[in-house]
Amino acid sequence: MTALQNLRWILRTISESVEVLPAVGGAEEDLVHPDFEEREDQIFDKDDLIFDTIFERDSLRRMPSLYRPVPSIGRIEKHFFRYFLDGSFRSYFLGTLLENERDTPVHFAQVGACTLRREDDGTMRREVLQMENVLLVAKGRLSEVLWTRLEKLASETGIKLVDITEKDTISETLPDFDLRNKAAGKVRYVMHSLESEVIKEVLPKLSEDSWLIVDGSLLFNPTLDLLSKDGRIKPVIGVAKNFRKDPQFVFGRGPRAERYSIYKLLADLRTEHRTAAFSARDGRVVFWYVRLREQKHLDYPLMGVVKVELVNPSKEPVPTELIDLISRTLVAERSVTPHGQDRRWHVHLYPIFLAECTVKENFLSREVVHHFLKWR
Amino acid sequence: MSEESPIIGLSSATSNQPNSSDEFFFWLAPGVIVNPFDIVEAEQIAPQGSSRTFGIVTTLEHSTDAPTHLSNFISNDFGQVSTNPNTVRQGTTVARVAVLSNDKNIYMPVMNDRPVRFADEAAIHTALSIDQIPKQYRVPAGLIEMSNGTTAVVYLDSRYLLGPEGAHMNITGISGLATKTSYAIFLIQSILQTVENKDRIGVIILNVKHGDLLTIDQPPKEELLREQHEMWKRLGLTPQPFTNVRYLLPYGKDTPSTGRPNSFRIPQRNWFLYAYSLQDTYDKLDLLFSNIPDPWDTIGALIGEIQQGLSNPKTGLWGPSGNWRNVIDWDSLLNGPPLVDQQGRAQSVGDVKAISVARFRRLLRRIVKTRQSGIFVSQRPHGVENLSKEIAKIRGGETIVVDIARLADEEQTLVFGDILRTIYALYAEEGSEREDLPEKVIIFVDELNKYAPAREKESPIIEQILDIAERGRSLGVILFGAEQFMSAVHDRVVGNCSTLIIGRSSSAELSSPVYRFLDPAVKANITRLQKGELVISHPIFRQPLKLKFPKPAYLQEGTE
Repeated sequence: MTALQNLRWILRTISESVEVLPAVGGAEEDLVHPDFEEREDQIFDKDDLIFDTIFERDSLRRMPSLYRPVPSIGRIEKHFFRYFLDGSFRSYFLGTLLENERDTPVHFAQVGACTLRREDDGTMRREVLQMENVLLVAKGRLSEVLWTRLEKLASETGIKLVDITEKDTISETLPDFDLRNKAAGKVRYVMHSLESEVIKEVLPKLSEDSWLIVDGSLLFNPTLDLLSKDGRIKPVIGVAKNFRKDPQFVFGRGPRAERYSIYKLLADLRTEHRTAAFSARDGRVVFWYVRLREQKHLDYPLMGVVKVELVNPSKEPVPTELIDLISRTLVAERSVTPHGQDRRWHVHLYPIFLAECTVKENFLSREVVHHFLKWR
Repeated sequence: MSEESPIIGLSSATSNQPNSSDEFFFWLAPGVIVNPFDIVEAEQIAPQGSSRTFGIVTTLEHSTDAPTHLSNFISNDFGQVSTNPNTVRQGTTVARVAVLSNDKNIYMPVMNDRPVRFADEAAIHTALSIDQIPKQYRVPAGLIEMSNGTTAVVYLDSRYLLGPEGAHMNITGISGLATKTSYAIFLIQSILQTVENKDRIGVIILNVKHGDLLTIDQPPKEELLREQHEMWKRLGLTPQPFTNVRYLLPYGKDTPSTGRPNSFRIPQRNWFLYAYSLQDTYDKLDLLFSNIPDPWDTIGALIGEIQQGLSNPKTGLWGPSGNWRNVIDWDSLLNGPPLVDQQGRAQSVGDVKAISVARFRRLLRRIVKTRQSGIFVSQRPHGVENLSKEIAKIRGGETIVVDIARLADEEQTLVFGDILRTIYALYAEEGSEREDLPEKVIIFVDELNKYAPAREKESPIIEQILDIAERGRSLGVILFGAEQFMSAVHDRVVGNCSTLIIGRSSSAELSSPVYRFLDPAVKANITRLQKGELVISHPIFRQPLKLKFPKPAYLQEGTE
């Protein structure tokens, strides 16, 4: 509540010097695009479209087949994944600031990232939770005086002030004329940055037998740089529920090379199987797909498949045994599912879902924000 | 707040299930075991510092984040029963608590996230307002045993058990499992050991089945188990048999030849026979006909004629005169004038027509001749007592056991009605002028439904019981009744009982309107009560409680 009180004070102070068009009801919640994750996959890896390098080798330095069985290894057999990270946000459009001929939308967002730890008995504990209250305005649409004033007010109250128009990997792909849409991208950027900080905090606790699953891609920077340090594979994987559907995969060389669209690749992927690991970013990252659930239980062949990313600082082919182990323990994560609570239940890992819930539980309620944020 | 007691959960209020001044919810910390009837305390606000809101757990529910059972089915790999989930599904057990009281009289709803603890014995006493009962009025009624091992003695307020504020007790429950008789005897022992004026209390116990209560002054053959002893000790009572007991046993058909009473067993000492001659019964004939339908009151009218004819108009006592002068015993009443003419035919008496007199004779013959157990005699032999007079001799501190176990239904009704009528007359009609008259008389009878059934609105015995139920509180005549089904007992009798004890009962019985004062969750718990466990409702407790009590310390049948 202190954050809201501070924010209200900021809004009141600003509204004394500029004209304000308040949002309906004081604050209007921004809609979240559920497919933004897929779009981010394209953004983060926009240069790669054709993947033809299988970047794994078994102990005899052989290249594996395109599909490999990865039967489930449960927690009781081997408790491999112990940490789970997800970020979330809730943002509100508060209104439009009018300063002479220029205007800017004003958004308020609560952003959080959380890591949960799973105990040996399967129960979950909160390991790290970081929350940020963010005020977003377009710096270029305000006078220097007003921006400086805003900066001062924000720093005094512990609210993070973000320039919507500042370039970053996510929001730069969104058109400048729609600042409200751009603000949504900016909030996602802030969330990923926060996730990156949480990974940094958790990293010392990880080991070969104690891995972290991050929700989504690891290609976001500074996460990728963080996991690329000192040339060793870090015990962190990224698991994406939604991924781009435009890449092509080439298996084999020369005239016998087989070309697969992602649809064909995944349609032939049987349950408890994975694809071979492909190289991205010149081998700095390897990724593969794992089918968690049988197709017969699902509506569409691409459902029930997750994309797994592993940062590979050495840029050498990754041991097949490690990818198998990751995949087999990942398959076991299909139980429990958040079925009925999230439409992506078939690919949503329950501990990640819980991490997301933890963040959301710590947000201020919509009602409070709606009724508390007043310009006057 | 009892700081040493660990926090077992935090109160929880949601939009669907808000806390109120009557109930609150709390989620349980993992590993904590709580059961229905546990008494807990939650931190509550107060003008200065904090207060404690006490409550009794009524139900426990475990819920998870699965919106449907289908979600769980799918979570287990679409119905694989051998799946071991990698992550334990988020779930919590939530207890619903009915508010008992607040130590600073603050009945604000318990706020969200307030610490909840098990109450200790002192807190339980505060919660139940037992600490408000002056010591001299406290009657130990049993022990509360909570899930964390805490025990607390539950005291009844004798002013609400024995009058004048409230009176009477009713015990109900399935035979054998509900231990109704054991509890009644235990509570009587508890009263006789603790109440301030215990020497001024008389007790009349009717033994209605087997020889259960014919050895209450004998110690058990085997020592009580250690835990039973400890329970007695914990309650501040001594496990000892009754003292100063007088047994009144019925005369039987074989008594003239064997000298033995018509009882399942014979007490060691201090027993007396009782029987009914016409002279003892003529003014109680209505009780004999309690179970006979008499919609036009013809039998009632004839009984009135007989009573008038057999009593001396000047004294009101026995003294047949006029047409009735030759009626001296049952035979002469049944077979002689004025009911029968010289040809042996029934004749009209007063306004009662001959046909009705004939019916009366048939019924009376069946009761006192054909089907009688031997209790009806032509004349009481020497040493065989008049029950009414024996009952009237009751003294404070004395227990009289009247055996009716082997009597026919009409005979049992007569005896019970006779006792009630005698005691009621002693207190209501004579007043409490006799110095040796006990201040209070407790009458315990099992199978109360036989005498005051729910289906009948009125009969001589029901009227007698209602007199006691409705006026006994102020007179000092206290009825402890027991039966298998409370729903089968006259509602005005149950309604006048300030203390209700419910042992194990079936759900069909508990669906009766008479149990509507119980929360559905409490009813569910009553269906699974163990032997020796009872649910008690007493005016000073805001909610029913579950109690345990020790075995009574006397020789019981089956232990010989």
